[in-house]
Amino acid sequence: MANKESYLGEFEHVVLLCIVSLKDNAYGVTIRETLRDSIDREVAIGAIYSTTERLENKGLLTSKKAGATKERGGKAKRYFSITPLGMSMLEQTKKQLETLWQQASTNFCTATGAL
Amino acid sequence: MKSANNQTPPGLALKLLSWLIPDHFKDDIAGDLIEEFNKSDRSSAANQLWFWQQTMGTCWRYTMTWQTLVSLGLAVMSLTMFLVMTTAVTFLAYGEGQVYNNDYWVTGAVHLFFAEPVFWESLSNGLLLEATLGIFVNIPSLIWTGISLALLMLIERKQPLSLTKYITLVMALISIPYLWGMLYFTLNEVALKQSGPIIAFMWLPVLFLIVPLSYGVIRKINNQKRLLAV
Repeated sequence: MANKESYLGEFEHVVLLCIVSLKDNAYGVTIRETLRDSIDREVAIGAIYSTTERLENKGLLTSKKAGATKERGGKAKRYFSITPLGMSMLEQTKKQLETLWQQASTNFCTATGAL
Repeated sequence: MKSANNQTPPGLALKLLSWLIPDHFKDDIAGDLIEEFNKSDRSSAANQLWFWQQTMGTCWRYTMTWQTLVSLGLAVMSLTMFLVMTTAVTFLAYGEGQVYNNDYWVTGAVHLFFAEPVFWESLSNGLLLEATLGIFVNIPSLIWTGISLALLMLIERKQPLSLTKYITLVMALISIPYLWGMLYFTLNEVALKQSGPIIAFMWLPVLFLIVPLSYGVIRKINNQKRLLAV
């Protein structure tokens, strides 16, 4: 049986994709904005930090502090970047989802066609 | 900290963030919230509300962990047991009436006393306020308490125990006098007048040890939480 460490949770998956798409500018504010603008999902900042902390503990992310500005009350940003292990985990999750979508597609088309 | 929209983030919310969020994240989270607050084109009231919502949601997420809930539950349980046992010992010292005609006072099943309505009546009537220091002086119980605390300190100083082993040892130290008392009553015929000191040795160590040992368990749980956060 697969344990929690060996697959990505739904929100972990979404956060990792945001970080990849933001490249060098992935920190709390931009991740929240991407989630809101791309998939219309409003999340608390605490949810992002507890997820990134878990992903860092799994070795899928790294982070560094930089960019303290006046607009941030002089507090630094924590920039996130994905590790090679994080990338391969994303690819694996994508393949798994594609397999499931392929298997479901026939029934899915029938079901939506019947509506 | 006035911004382009001429608003200032709520100071109390910032204080809450600095008190309740783990050290390694509090500046990052506060910085992100201040940045979004300053960039926002919401009205002043809506912006303040948004900041408070984010602060409360984040503080809740980081403080209401299973460790906090277990610690709270343990603290409430140990204080309740302390009050219950203090009332029971006070009843043993001053109480009178038909309840002493029951067999369990001489058979060792003294826990049945806690199912008696008369006990709960005395608890709600504040019998424990009549307690004096003298009724808690029982040399064997004090010696057992001293040995238990010293043993735990020595073991922890030598090689800190895992949480499971610590809880097992704590449970054993609290329950051994009680089990010894039950065994004593089973093996010996004890008259009602002689049962008092034995029951005192069964109950008083629970009363003396429950609060400090629960505190020890809570500290252990929180140490584990800190280790996980590093």
